Amino acid sequence: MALVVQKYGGSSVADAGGIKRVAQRIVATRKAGHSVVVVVSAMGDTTDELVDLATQVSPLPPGRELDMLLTAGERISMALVAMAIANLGLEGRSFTGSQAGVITDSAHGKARIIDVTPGRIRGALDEGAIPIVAGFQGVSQGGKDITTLGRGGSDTTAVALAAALGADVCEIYTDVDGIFTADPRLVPSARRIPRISYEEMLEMAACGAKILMLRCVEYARRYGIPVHVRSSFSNRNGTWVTEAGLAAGGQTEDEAMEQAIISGVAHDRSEAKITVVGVPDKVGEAARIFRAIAATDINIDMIVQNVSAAATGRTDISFTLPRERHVLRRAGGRRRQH
Amino acid sequence: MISTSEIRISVVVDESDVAMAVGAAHQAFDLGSDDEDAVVYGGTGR
Repeated sequence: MALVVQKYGGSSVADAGGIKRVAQRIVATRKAGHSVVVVVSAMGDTTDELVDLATQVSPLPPGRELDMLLTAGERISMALVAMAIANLGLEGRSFTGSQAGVITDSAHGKARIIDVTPGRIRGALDEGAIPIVAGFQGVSQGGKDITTLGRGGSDTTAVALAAALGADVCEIYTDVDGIFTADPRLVPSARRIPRISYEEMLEMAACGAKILMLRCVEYARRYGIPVHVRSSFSNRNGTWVTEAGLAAGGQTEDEAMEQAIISGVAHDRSEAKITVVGVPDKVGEAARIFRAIAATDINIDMIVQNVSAAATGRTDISFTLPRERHVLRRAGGRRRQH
Repeated sequence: MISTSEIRISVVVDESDVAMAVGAAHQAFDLGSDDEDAVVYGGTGR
């Protein structure tokens, strides 16, 4: 008997039919003799629709209120999943992130999990109930405000809960059959990767692969939680994200030899490129630019300095950063955007 | 714009070229499979 944390993404619980299918899978896991803790995302595109609604009311909604709004999405799905489980004869018991003991810092919209105190989840398990936890949300340590973890945050909730509960595995259910060599939405011939190391997955996630959130993979690596990514729509094998040794261990030598050096291709549509032209080519100038950027709390992703024109002693410096309009506005200064 | 690290090569292209660029890189490194196509069961990719 294992303790399994299962996380179901928005597309898996997009409608009543999906919620019933998810409930059947949860009940089947339980009937196979395992203890189950479930983490759910909001239904379908609920979160995006709520963001759209918020920006129609205010172009720059206060972070605290936006988080309060967005966390409503998981309340809907968690209660519905609990009801669907009840309909199958078992008890599902829903918990908000706060009730589940997900404690974060107070950075609204991108809060980090500081600690998980899952006393109530353990209690529910001991009483034979199946805890259904709202993903993506927590409560701030100091202010006791409701926070959200940012896009893909439910994956992090699931892994953090798995670590706090000492679970044997964290299963991430999504709308594709695992981790692929490229986004299957773009490349239909993409191949499923049966096993991948935390390190490779970290790099893919950092470069924009949306299948797993970066922080989720970091958390899993730190606590050594095996992550099993699979589809809630099929019974295929999915992808195991594990230690590098284990990732190679299940293979014969030939298979390991055949493994390509390149793991996969990730893409990210949210990058903006900025070029600062005519920068004096001397020590300290680049630092001046990046200090100004750093002061606005923006993380730079890529930096390239062009070849200096000897005649003028000036050069161009290009860099990329996340494309969020309000962030760009705050950066200020002269710039050329592509 | 191209940048590299020990374990990664990044290229910046126009957003309208992303799908083509990803497909080209994927093919160039022989990452694909001749078996059945990858299935996307749901979601809008938002």
